[in-house]
Amino acid sequence: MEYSPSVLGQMLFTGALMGSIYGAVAMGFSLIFGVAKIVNFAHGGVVVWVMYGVLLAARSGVAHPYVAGLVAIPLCYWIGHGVQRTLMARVSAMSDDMQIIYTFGLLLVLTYMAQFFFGPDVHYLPTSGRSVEFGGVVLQAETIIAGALALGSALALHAFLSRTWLGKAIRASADNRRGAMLIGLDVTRLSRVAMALSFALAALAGTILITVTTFYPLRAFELAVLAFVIVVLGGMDNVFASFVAGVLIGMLEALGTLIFSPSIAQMAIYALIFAVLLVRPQGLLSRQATK
Amino acid sequence: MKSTFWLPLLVVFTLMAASVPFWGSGYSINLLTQIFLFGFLAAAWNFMALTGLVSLGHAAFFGVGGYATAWIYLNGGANLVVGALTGMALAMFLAFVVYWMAFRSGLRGIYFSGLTLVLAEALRFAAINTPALGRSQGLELVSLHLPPYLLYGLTVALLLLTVAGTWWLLRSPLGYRLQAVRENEGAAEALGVHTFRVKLAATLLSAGLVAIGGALHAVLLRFVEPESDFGLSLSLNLLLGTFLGGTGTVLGPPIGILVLFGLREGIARLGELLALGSSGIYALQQVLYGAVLMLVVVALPDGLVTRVQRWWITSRGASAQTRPAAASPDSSRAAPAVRPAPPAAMSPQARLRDDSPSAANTPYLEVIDVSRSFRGITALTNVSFELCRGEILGLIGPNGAGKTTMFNVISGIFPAQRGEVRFKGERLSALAPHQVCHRGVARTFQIVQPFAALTVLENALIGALARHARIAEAREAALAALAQVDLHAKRDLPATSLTLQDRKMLEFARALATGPELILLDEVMAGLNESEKSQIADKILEIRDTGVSFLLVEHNMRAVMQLSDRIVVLDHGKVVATGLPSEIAHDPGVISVYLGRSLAHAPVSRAA
Amino acid sequence: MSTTTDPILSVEDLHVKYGLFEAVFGVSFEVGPGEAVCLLGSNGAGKSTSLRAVLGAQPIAAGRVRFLGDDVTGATAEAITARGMIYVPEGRELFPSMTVQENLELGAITREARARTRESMELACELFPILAKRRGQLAGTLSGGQQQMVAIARGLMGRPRLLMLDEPSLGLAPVVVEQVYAALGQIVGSGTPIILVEQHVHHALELCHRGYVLEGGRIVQHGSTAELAGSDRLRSAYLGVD
Repeated sequence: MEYSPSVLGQMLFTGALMGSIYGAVAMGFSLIFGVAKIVNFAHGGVVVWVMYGVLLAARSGVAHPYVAGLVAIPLCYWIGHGVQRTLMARVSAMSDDMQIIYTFGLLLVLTYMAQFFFGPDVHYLPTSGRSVEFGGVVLQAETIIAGALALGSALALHAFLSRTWLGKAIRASADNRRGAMLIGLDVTRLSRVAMALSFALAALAGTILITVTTFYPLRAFELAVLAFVIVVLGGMDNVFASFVAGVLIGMLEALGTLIFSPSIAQMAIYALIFAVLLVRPQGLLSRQATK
Repeated sequence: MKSTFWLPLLVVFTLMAASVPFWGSGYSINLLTQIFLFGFLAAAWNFMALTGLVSLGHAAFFGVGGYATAWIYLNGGANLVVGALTGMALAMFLAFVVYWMAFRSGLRGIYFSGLTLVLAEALRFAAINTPALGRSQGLELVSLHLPPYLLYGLTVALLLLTVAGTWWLLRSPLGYRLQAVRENEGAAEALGVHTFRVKLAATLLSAGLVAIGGALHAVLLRFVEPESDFGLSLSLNLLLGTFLGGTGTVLGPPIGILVLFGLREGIARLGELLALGSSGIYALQQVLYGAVLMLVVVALPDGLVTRVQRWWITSRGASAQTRPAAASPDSSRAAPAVRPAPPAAMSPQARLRDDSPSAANTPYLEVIDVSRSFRGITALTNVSFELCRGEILGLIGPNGAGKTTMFNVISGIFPAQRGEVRFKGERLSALAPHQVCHRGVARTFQIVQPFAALTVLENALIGALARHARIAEAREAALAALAQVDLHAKRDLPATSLTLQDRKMLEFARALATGPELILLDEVMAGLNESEKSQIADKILEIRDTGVSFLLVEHNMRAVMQLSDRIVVLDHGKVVATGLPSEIAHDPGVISVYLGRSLAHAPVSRAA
Repeated sequence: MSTTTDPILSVEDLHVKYGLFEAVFGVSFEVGPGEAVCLLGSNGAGKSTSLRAVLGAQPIAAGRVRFLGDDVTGATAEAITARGMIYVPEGRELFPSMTVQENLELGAITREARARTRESMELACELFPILAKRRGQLAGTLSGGQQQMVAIARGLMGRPRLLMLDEPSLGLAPVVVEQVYAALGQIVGSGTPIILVEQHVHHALELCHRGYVLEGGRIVQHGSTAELAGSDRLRSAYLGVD
């Protein structure tokens, strides 16, 4: 098989950029699992609702997608705060299986409410048609912006978690919830902040996703499974690792698509996750010795 | 009892079901076939749920069954039975491989559920990509024409068989063991349950049956395709139906499916009224399903059937409260031939009355030079001691001295890294907890956790099943064990209704029911008041007199000193002293372990 | 010593239950300004439970807790910690995947404490020189003794008005216990009131001014540590021999 450098380059860059967007989706999921110990399958549903919101705003001419995103992000932050206070606080006390079932139910509700209101059709935003070319590699402007935003948010989140006191407190409560409570950290409030951040990240992910890809209500399921897959690969204890794992998955997908086909690439990824779950469930990039 | 309630219901159901072909339209027969088929599938999913694991990917086995049947029909000469059986075999093989690996790695919770999900999705993509399987279009069984009555009858038969099978399973040794594993795997293992094998058996059964369901579905619809056969919504429907009806119950799954279908039809009617269009109706149905899931988790975690049963019992119980005056004659009749604690019936102990003079002093349990560390922290260093037959040996030491680790090494939870443990001359150290139990060493746990969903008798039964393969014999042994700890009268109460003291006695009874020769008691006195403590101490002495030896870990000094024949003192993972209680209490080395060197030699103003 | 000043901490008739059973039956104790007080007793006597209940980490069934003159019965752990009652947990409870530096920073719970982080960090490193060298190390990779030092230093970062220590010698080798208690001696010497729960008696008696002996959830003896050291009640409470 011969692939010219430009083809390989195309694959690498597109894969990395798409992967960073996937990473953005996974980060919110990872954050809430680490801190509030909630497996939130409904995360994918939130992303899709934001996508519809942005779509409406863009279609009706109210706002440019990115502007709509700027509004969506703080709005979702605020919503996330409320959701933790009401729905989710009870969830963190549940056993694992109950959580999975509960948030899956929530995912169903969100996904199909979207289908009910917006219909099952595929939607997409028209692209600006602008692209950047270098060395034989062609990249859509939107893809580059999306990737940059995703990377930016990952870096910002990382900086927040590792340099601010609040961020460290959030990591601490994920690391040892009991210890955090005993030394006087307000674990309830920290969970709320984490949930709010998670929603804000979902909003960002939705905004950038809609600019680069088609979507339909059932995307929510695909995103939920994707987020899970990425977090398994990266490990649940480190949010930035989720981002890196997302990039890896994106590149694997691109590679698989190039050599075989999109769906074989998907299968290969699933096979990889399967192996990881059985051999090293705490994630390839995790620092923990055991799960 | 419960069977008298459901039995007439089942008979009525069977009669009604049998009558349908005579008056039903083609549409209603088809609908009923689908309902019964899904009821059967949900009951099959239920088998897996009995282990406590949530599978989100049962569609994997469904699809294997369906596709195998379809492919063999189209390519292998139209033999549906062969196709279905092949599908079943393939599914069971797949389940065996995947779950064997999963259970070995100890996967549970979200990781396990995620694994099942990934499995189903991977198979779905495989089907989409395989030309021989029709890619995204799937396979069509065009030339297949079976009379609808045949399929209808088949599904009804399968449903009845599976429901009956569930009823039978829940009363079989495997069924009890499954429930124990679901409640508390660690405790079950300590009581001799081979948890790995039990989990695997349940999952294989479930996978095989679901594959048959997939085969039937393929024949019913006359096509298979990736989305409907391997898709997430299928797995979700099974989960939903079983969960709504009640996981782990006999009638829960089919009733849950019935309710779901009812809700679905209801939404369909509503949607027609409001002119919503098919996609709108479908969406609304799914929203309802999701809402039901959330509601059930919050309000009805045990499912509809259990809730109804409870309501039935409490409304019956209100009228039963007028009976207390008649209680005395009734209760003596109600209690089946109460067996007084017959020591002779406890065969292992009877065997122990070996009167050879040297027997009393042969070391029974030998801990030889055991060392064990965890991630750099040394928990035990060169610990050696012996326990003679019929002895009560107390293991004491400050917090963190290594007592619990020692217990865990003996009972097989951790292996010793150096040294070994022998019981009656045979190596114990390399065995798994359930094997240790079968050798005659039972243990209790510091934090009492009875199997909450079971009655007192059923709890003891789990232990008895370690010695007796058949339920009838195990039941007798369990009753005898309960009688020994004075819990016989409470045998039919749910385990959760017991006081702390009774729960400790139940732990005891469970261990006794395994017919042990040595019992490891882990802080059995914790949390009890003085009179409760002395009652347990008396019990221990009583049971010791029937020939059982004891190794105690206790923090309550008074109790240990009074109860033990000899004492071993641990500190920082090493044995500091061994001897009689009176010696230990005044040993300066021991005193310094607790109080420090300066106080060790303080004069004792009163004689011991 | 005449106490015209109110006690820092005053606990009256504390009852604590764990679901089915009662762990603490009517325990009362207090800590005066600049005092070091110890709670002694064998395992399961109710010492740690009492401490956690006072902190607000365990529900109180009955009784009253007064801290710095205010009634804090039933307040949450974060509210009470913010007032200056800092708890060094049994078993350390550090944050294993975070560095020593980060663990220490997290101890500065209040805004005032955070403002003085650098100052507190320097003091901590003076007290435990080993910390300075290992600032960037993950807390989970430290030895037991080092972890205990980090835990105590983390507590100090909060500028405590009362420092509560729960079994600081648990699982540590005797040599390390000496080091830890030497540091505790310096803390006491600097005037910070502490309340200490210990199973290993002699260090506690050397360090503290007064002590309470618990057995079965009740106080069976209390007094100055000198009095306690000479008594048999102490020995019988631990060894069950009269």
